[in-house]
Amino acid sequence: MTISLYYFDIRGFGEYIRLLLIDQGVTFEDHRFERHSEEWEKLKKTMVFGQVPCLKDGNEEFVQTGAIMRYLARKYDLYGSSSTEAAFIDMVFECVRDLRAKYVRYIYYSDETKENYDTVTLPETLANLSKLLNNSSQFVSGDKISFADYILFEELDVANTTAPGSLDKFENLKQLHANMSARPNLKKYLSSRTAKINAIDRQ
Amino acid sequence: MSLKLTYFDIRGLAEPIRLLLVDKQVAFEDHRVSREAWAELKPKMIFGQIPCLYSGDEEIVQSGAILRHLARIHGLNGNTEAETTFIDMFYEGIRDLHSKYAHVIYTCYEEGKQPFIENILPVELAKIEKLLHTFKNGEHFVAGDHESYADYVLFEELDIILILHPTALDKFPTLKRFHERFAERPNIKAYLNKRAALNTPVNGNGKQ
Repeated sequence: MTISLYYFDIRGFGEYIRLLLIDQGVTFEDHRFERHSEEWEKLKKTMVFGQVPCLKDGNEEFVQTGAIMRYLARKYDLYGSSSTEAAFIDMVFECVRDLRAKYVRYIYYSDETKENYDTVTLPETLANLSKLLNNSSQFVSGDKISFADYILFEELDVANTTAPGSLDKFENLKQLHANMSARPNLKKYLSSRTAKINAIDRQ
Repeated sequence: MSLKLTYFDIRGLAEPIRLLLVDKQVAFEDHRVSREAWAELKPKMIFGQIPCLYSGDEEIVQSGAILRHLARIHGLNGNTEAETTFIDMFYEGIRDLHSKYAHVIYTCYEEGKQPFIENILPVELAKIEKLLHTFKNGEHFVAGDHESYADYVLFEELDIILILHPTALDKFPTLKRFHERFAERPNIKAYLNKRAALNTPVNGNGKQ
């Protein structure tokens, strides 16, 4: 059954999904298009919320990043091994999403400032996450990778780019970032990745 | 297992969680903190945020995590993979609408309310109504025959939208009927009556 991902030719929200699929060795069609393109104009009309990312798996079609990631998590066993782990993974995923939402407010809407983001929002969230994660485990939930690892890795990677040095104080987050970057499929993908983080020339 | 939900004395992000627990007759302590007590509590919270659900030894924050946790435990997460993903999708769609709503409430109520009612609301409600038709024509629950956690979120969202704009659902009969039906569920109805008497604020800044 063919899996296809439809998203803009940027990292954005689609990147979490791409990282998960690539790392899990899932073959998929990575459909990318420009924001101002006929392809998107046409596709937009067929999307339930007029939004992408959209994942097509055989005859099924899913939208909403939070729903797509969880669908794939159930399919590829990335949702922990107990209901306690699942709740923890959901919690980390949602926290990282909140961080991204603030980043998006700064990038696209200007009601968060770069200064506040870099000096308050980002370090506070990183400190909370660092405290929450176990120092000795490899991933968000112990030694088993979960869908939250992909979103956390991507956000740490963005933080590394937009605010260099922001991870320095957080040894376990730095380690998680390093662990993820070294996974063979991701390493290969990252070495040739050229897509921009955002749709506008700002990061 | 003892269950405690900690949040402000407003509806806000906790109300769908309260509605779920009330409707499913799950006993819980509805712990509401004052703004003064919050200053003391905030540094102790995992992300400095509430709502927080204390379930035995577990401490769960983030409404999207709390709702899904309760959904898994109380059979409100769909019966098939297709249902589960649909429920998640539906929930995320309502959340998008809620963040637009919250943006108006908390940052630009005076000048933003009317444009929100005229331009954003009809478009967003049309999408949600269309999606609600997916299972059983939207005549029962979000996922068809069975309740799911998305029902509580949808109900609360429609309820606060009606407070903002009482005729908002007039052009959306399926959403309107869903709201009316849900409000008649016995446990929900009793809770809503109690809440009306207490006059619990919808949001943290008195705007609604």
